Amino acid sequence: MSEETVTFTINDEEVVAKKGATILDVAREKNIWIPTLCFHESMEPEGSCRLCLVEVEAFGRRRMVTSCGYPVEDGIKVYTDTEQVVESRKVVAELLLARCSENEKIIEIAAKLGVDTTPFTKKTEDCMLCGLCVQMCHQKMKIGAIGFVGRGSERKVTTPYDKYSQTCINCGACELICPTNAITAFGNSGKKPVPHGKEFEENLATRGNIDIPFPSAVPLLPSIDRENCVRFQVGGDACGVCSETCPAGAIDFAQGDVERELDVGALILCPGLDRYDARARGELGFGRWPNVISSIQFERILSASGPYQGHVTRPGDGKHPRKIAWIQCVGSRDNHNANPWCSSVCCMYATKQTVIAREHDSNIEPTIFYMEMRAFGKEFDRYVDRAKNEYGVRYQRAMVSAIREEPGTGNLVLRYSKENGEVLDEVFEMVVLSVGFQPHEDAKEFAKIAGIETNEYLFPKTSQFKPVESSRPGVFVTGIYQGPKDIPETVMQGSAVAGGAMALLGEARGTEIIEKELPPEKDIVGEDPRVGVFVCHCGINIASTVDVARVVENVKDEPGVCHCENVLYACSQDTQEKIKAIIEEKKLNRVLVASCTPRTHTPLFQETLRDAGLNKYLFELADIREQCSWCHMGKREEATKKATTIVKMTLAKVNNLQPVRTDSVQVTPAAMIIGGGIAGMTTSLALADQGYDVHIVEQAGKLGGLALGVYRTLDGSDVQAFVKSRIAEVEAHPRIKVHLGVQVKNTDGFVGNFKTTLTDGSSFEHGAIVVASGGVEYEPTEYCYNDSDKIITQRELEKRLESEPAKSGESYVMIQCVGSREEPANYCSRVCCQDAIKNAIRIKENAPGAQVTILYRDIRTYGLREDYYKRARDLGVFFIRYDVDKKPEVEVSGDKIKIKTFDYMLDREISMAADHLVLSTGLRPHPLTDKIGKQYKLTRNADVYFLEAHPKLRPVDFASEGLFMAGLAHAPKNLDETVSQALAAAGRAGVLLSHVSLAVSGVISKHNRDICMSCLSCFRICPFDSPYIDEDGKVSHNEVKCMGCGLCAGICPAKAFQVNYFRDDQILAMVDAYGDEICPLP
Amino acid sequence: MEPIKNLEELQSLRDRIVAGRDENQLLITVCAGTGCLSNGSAKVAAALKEELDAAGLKGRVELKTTGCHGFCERGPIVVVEPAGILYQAVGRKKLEKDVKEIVESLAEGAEPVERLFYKDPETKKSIRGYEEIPFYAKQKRVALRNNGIIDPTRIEDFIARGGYGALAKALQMTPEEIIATLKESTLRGRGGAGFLTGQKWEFCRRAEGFPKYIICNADEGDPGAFMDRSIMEGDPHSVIEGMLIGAYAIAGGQGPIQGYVYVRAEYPLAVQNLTTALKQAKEYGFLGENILGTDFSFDIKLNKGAGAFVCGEETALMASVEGRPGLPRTRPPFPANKGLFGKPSNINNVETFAAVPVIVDRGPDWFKSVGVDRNGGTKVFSLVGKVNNTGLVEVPMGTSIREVVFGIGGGIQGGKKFKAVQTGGPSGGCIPESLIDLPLTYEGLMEAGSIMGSGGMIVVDEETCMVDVARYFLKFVTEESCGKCVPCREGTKHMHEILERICAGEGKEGDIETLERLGKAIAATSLCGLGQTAPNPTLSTIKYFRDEYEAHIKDKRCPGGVCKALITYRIDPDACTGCGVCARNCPVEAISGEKKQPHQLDASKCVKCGACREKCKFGAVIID
Repeated sequence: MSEETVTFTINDEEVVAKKGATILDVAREKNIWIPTLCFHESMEPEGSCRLCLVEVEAFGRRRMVTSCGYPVEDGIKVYTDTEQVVESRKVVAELLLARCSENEKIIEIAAKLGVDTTPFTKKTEDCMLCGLCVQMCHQKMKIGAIGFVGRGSERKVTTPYDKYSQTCINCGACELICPTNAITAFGNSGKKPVPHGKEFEENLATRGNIDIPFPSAVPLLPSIDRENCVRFQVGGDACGVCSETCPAGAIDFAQGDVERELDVGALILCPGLDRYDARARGELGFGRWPNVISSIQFERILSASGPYQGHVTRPGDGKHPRKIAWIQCVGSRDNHNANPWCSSVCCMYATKQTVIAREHDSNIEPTIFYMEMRAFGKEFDRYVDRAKNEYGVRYQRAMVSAIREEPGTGNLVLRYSKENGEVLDEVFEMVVLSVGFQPHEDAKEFAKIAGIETNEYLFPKTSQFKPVESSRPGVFVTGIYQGPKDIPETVMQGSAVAGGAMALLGEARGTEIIEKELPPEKDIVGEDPRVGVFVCHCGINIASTVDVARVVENVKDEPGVCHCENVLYACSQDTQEKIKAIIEEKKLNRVLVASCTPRTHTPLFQETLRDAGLNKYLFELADIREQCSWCHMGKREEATKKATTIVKMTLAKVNNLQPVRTDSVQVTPAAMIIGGGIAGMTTSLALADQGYDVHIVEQAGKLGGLALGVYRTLDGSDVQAFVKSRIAEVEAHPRIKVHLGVQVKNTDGFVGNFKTTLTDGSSFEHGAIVVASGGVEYEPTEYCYNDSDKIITQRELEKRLESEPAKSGESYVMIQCVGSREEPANYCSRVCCQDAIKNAIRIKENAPGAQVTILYRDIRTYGLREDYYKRARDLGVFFIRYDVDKKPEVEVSGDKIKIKTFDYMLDREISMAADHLVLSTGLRPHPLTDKIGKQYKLTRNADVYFLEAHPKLRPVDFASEGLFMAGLAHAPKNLDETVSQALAAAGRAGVLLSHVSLAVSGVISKHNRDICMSCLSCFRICPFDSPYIDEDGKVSHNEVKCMGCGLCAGICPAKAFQVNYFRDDQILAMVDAYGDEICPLP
Repeated sequence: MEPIKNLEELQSLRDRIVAGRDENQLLITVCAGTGCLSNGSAKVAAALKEELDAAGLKGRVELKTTGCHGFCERGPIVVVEPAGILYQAVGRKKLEKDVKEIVESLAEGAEPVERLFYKDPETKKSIRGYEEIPFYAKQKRVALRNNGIIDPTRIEDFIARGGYGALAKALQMTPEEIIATLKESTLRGRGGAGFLTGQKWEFCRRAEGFPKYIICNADEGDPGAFMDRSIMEGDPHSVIEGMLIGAYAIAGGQGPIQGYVYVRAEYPLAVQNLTTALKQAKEYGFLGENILGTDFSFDIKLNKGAGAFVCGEETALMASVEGRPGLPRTRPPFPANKGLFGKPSNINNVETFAAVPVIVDRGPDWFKSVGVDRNGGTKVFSLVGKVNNTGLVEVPMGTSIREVVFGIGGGIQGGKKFKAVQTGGPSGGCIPESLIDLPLTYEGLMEAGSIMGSGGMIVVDEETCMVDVARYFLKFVTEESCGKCVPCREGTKHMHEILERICAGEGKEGDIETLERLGKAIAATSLCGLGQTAPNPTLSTIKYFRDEYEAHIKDKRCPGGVCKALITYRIDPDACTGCGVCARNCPVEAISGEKKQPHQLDASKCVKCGACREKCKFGAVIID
């Protein structure tokens, strides 16, 4: 050992240090302050600033040396604060201050040395020529773009000949390492700074070459941008600063892409879509005018964690804009430089953005420039109305033809024409371009790899009947890759593809599971607590604020503590092994880890305990990062005290921890489907294929539902054939039992264990319920529907066209939104625009001489349906817009129907005579919806459609466990969407039914019937109906239903309820422990 | 040419060369050192050759050029042997006549050309012989032993005078013995710091790592100093031989070693003569593989520096050799352990190496006996300034300043009063008259606030302003500071600024104290020797001539009459004869007056150029 250490003195105190260490290293370790400026840990000591001078006596000579580069030697005497040292440093500080008289860092360090003025002539340089930047550029980055030129006082850092540097790679390392912030904006390279835009912030913020892509990235780890990292750019051992500084040694430059082969039974493609690049629309000025931004950028601007902390701010000058314009259909519904389809989402997100913008800043005046407001989703129209009426959002039906910047102001002049042709220029302070979706650049290659066919736009080919199946069996597609759609549909289709794939893989289910073998749990009951305490540095996250060693010191002698130490990263794999070993070695029976956050890390440590044979509830985590170090940065003393308090409080609880048993209940592997339409049948088939028994309960006498009246899809597919084949499949399936002409009488039990009795008296057990009770068509009363057989509905027209093709010379007028988008049914029925266009195309294809005019409010051919809208126009179908305030007037006049309406383009009223008036009637909820709702306590919305648990995140789940929904019972939708949702319900229900048993959390309320007074407080407050009145008339507790929320424990006057793991004695012990600590929380 | 394989072959070669020479052969040597060359010695040599040919003496009289004799003040120097007659200032005024008469004097019975003899300024007597001239008589030439005697381009001349004999002797010793000899001799580095050469070699020998490097620091940078240049020009083989011995002492029997000579490109003749010498040494087998038949191998590369003063600092020099900017670095690690290319390296200067062969040859005791305690041997000084005989002088260590300035230098020009001598160049300090008997030793000079340095010696008379001297040297170091470390870069700049101000009559109360405080701090905190010694001229002048500083600051007066802002010229009407020379020479027509009447000087027009004062034969121009 003596060979590796040296003994010497610092300020006459004997010190033993590692050989090879410098005086500065040792002094820092001993907390002896030595000022430095030009020193940096990752660089060779330059010794140029001369601030770190100390006196050294060696070999009989005493002299001044720079401590940063002087290796300690046996027997030397080091003095860090002699009169000469102090005086010399002062003079150096005065010289530095003279050179850099206005530099904050120099002023700061000079002040630390007691120097606030300088007797010498002042200059205002920032660079003190320490050379760290040059060293960095040459030695670390291996670039050599900057260097010193000139001698003596002429010396400066620059590029060769002070010229633009071809060599500089703009890595910014020079700027980073400069101790006096003298290098800004890469001033030395002559290059304009082009920092990497942070992709997640849509380039409104910048990022480094090592970055966590976004706050919820999985895995939530930083990665290196190889395209820009100097190491990979320059090659060899360039830079590497990250690996030198990472205390965990986590940097591995050798890591790269790995090719793996997987055997799978199904392939699900969900690569999503790319976004349209608005720069292609040069006239809108995106990329040229800084205050023209994309909608995605605006999304980030609105985000509280975004580049401007949620303040609506112009990127150009940081001002808060008042007048903001949104321009719709940028990159969508446009054959020129853009995409022909409708992206389906932009109308709603623009509306949402205007509303949120107004909520952030009520001075904002939003205007949306649009062609058609496609608010076709569930409750979307109501939302748009609210935007208009409550938030004052102005909807301007116009396309903007050009945007230019107003010189000097950064404001933008928008040119557009009104419907009547009047051209206007209007000034806005910011413009948001609502950009649409488009397939990824490599979509063709991607499809080729997967072996699937695509349509002309490179979306995968799917059918209305099988929306998640690609052209290749076993390869599924889902999400917006399948076609543009909003979040609810995407989530729904995500579940649908799971349902579809599970049906395919039904037989193989469970065959690849490897059960983890765990040691038996040790019985620790009755043992005195033997607690292991591990205090984590969390790298620098905790340790830079909290003195973790001192926390260990403060806690190690507390009662119950058998082992106490600090660890660099408690969550690392090797620390887990260490904890297991120490549990074994010291016979620990409880563990406390003081670290980051229980939210993500408690399960990890619990698993470690379980691996070591301890019940997982014998663990507790003391949060000293998020509740201490992060919120008390810079207050080391107080934070250390608080951390100690937190650990001691947690320890008090840990000493009182007891093992908790986790129960489980069996699951009946069967489902009941209410409704035998397309939705019900699709769900049933998928679940049955997964291997579960299915009961279809259909109140009508036959299967098929509303689809029985539909003949063609928009793309011309035969719906009747599809319905028939579905019915045949259902009837033939051995696992499906169809109950026709009956309804549910009642259902008992709970999730996984239902028992249903039908009106015919039959009963069966099942684990899940899918409500697919469907909807009905609206029967119109308006537009003289009942006055003439020339006035029919679209459905009636469709049926007639099947047998009676249209004839040349006939004139058809269609009126949209009949019974929709108006109170009392103020929602879009979603199907009518397509039905009208479908029928119009059919008429024009059969009889080009026939005339078709469609009176509409907004044509809502969303997604790829837009093609048919275009086709209809190409075929010569007339589209005339009407407004809800100026609805068409209809009059039956002999053989003809006379229709009057206001034409906004002509700016006057027009009238026409038609042979047929076709009313596009909407959808309504099924009359049974209300009944079923009441039966199962399921919430309905204002339009009496079932309400999902969460419109975006859980669109097919009911709030109640074990119940799911599909089809029109949820909301109006197209056939393909119904199929998707039905598959989704099968997917969701399948997940539930696949469990042999359901684990019930150990953290539940325990009821002590002996001391319960049956006051019913718990019964009333429990949101999960778990307390019940038993056969004795007293309160009992159904633990299976209990979610452990603790309301009962809080309200029970007798304290008959105690929540496992949060028992009163545990909480009180924590409170007592805090009381013991005199330290007030900072 | 077959390389020499052993001592016997060397001896026989020397014998052959000496045998081929006639001691009575008439020989004319013309100094071709840079000093004489600039005074026209090349023309003298050419004219002599022509004249000899014309006189039909071709072949009968040998004509050769040599290195510097040191008496540069009196160049071009021509010596006629074997009579040992020294002619000085040959051809300065009348080239043809001088040459003709010298050739004529060679005739049997002809008298030497007396008018070209050196005339003692005091006794006014002409001195014919080299040895009798006080300038030479009082010197002890060890490092300069061959200078002015041999033709530096001819290795045979060197060998004839015993050259490479010391190498042969050294190769028969063990490296340890050589190091012991060197240590015993108390030879100390002639470049400045005066570190014991033997010890330095020993450090390097003990260091681990190969190849090792031995470097000759020939980056002589002090203004006015040219001893190293003269040695390289006049006797390059002595340096090579010294390096060879050093290389053997450091790495002999251990592993490979490579030599470098780092010479400034501003010394073209030195580069040329060294290049020639290296080539010759290689041909004779003194350099290369298996030197003199031993298993010791060594070679030397010549590295031309661009002339930065700081490159004389060893770490900066090594950086420069490596191809990096010549910037010093912190020590440790010391070059002996981690030097050139990160390998153990040893650096000595030219004069040090030149002395080595003599020590090996004549033994350490002899060398020690030449000097005084711990200061063995001789030191070459370049004696310049207001002294009569400027030039290179080599004296035993411990010789007094008085002996050098008055004994050899012949006193102060114009009979003026000696004021001080500045030694050690920009890194050195001023020694005042009160210390004129100070023996020239490393310790003595250090105590007096100066340094030995490389041997610059500037004599200063009463008409010199000491503040101006300090200002001059500070200007030099601010320009030559590499700028790496803060105190040297920034501190010297501020010191210079203050001195400029004082010289401009804008000195303030407290300036002297600031200079002292700053100077001490710069000395204590600078990274390398340049900065550490940069304040010496200022601090030593403040120490010995504080009154002059005070006169500048408080009385706004320059006692030396140098600082223009503080002086006025006036014509003494009593002394003025009205000759009008002053008026004619005044560039700004500030002087007027009637013929033969005392003239007047208009102070408002005067730019203080001093032309009038210089030209006035009657001392009528007076500085107030």
